[in-house]
Amino acid sequence: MTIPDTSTRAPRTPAPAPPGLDLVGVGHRYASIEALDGIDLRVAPGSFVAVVGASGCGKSTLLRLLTGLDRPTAGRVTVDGASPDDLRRAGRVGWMAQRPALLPWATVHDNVAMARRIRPPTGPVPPVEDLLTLVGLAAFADARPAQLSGGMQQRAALARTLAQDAPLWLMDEPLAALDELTREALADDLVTIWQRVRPTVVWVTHHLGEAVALADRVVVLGPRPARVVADLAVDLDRPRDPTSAEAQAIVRQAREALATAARPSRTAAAAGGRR
Amino acid sequence: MSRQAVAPEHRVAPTQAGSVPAIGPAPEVASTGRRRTDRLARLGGVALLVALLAAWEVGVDLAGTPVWIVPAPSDVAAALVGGVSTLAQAAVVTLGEALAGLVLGTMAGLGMAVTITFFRHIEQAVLSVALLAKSTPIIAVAPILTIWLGFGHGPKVVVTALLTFFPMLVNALEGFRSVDPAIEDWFASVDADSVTVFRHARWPSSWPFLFTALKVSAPLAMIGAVVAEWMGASSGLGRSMWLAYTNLRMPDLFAAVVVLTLLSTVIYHLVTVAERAALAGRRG
Repeated sequence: MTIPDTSTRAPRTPAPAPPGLDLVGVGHRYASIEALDGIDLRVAPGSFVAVVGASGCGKSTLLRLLTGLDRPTAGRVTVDGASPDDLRRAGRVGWMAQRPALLPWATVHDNVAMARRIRPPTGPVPPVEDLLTLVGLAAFADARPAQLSGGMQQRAALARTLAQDAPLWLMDEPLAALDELTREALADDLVTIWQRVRPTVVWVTHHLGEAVALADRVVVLGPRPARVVADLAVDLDRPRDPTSAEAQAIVRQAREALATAARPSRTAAAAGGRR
Repeated sequence: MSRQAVAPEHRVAPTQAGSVPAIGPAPEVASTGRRRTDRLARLGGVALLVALLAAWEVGVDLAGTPVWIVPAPSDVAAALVGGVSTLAQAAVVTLGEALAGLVLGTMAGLGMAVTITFFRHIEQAVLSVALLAKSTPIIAVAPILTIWLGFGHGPKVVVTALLTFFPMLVNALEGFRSVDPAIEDWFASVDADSVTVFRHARWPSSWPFLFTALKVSAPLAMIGAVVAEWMGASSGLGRSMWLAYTNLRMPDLFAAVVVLTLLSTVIYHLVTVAERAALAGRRG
């Protein structure tokens, strides 16, 4: 009897192909609040797109539409040409909401492992312990969420999303609660993972520097109801230096697009107030 | 009829009920001051009780009230000491009936709540019947049950179960629905089925509500058992009370009441201790 060589025993199942995303004239209105208006956006499979915009402009709504948890009130959202529900029902959407939403009664380890308990992975996946090490929570595997700081909770939620090994990452300000240094280190690690696994990523952030440091493309949304006001390609080699002149130039472009978009709407709001 | 209209008195918000020092160990440094105030408050309570008892003792003595109308605390104490073995035996019987009924009622309430959670459309029907059962005066039901089931433990267990299932039903229903919407969204995003959501989100979310229900129903169980015993029994605290009452042995009656009150208090505190242990760690 021979001892099977664990490194070759399980043939690595090919990772599911990353999906392409397509939004055509997408609008979303909830009660009297119009969050999105006429969004046209196409995301190529395996690309990393950052979506930036002012707080409350509808970025989170955009991600929820892509998960299929919410429906657009206008236009069409498709994932690989089909309803977003299909990919979600296959357990292949890694959605990280803005609030960590960890289970308070479960340990950090169990929280991270929960998606795998619900849907056992078919191929070899990195152990939960490795993911905890990646986000710097290895020592807190047995802690409960309440014992963690806000930033640590967010890192646990990030590990939970990574544990899904999904070909689509929908990340809603995943690093917002982190301090500057942790944020940069973790962003570097995530780009490394992205380069290896190549999921399609939609990364919502209000941090322009972060968007330019990470993404292939930066989509700038205007104020609510949001529409795409700029779509900037980031054609820089990785690892990137966010302080480089090229990176700074893109940040500047994005900032100008945001500022320009904010101006007319403020005038319109003022006019509406006077009516 | 809406669920909210059913019985507001049973729907104590668990945040209020559990927020005192019930959940999670308080941090060591900050708690020393609070602990001192706690101890002072408790001493104050004891002092007040002693003062009341003293006033009662003196008042009864000065007024010359006959012992078969109002016994002095010293008479009650004497009855407690003198009847300790009888009272203990009676207490064990009542406690057994109360616990059996509590387990039965709790299980029934919990089972109904779980069923309703999975089959929403039966909610109105089940709750209407449950409300009818809850609204029937227990004082009228107990003698009927005694006629049907005899003088044994059966009717006491049934009365207790009838009293305790409703708080559990209503609170469990509320608890199963109390899942943080963000957590519900996460489970939806990984397409978890309803059994998984129940097991990993609804059930653990409901714990504070279940303990709230127990804090109401556990002491209620003792009362249910005693009321049922009063209607006809061969043993138990209710039987002791009834015997003492019909023979105008007020000190014995008061002694049984004291035992009943102490037991109810102890049970309530046991639930609180269990709650603290079960919910430890959920808050920082």
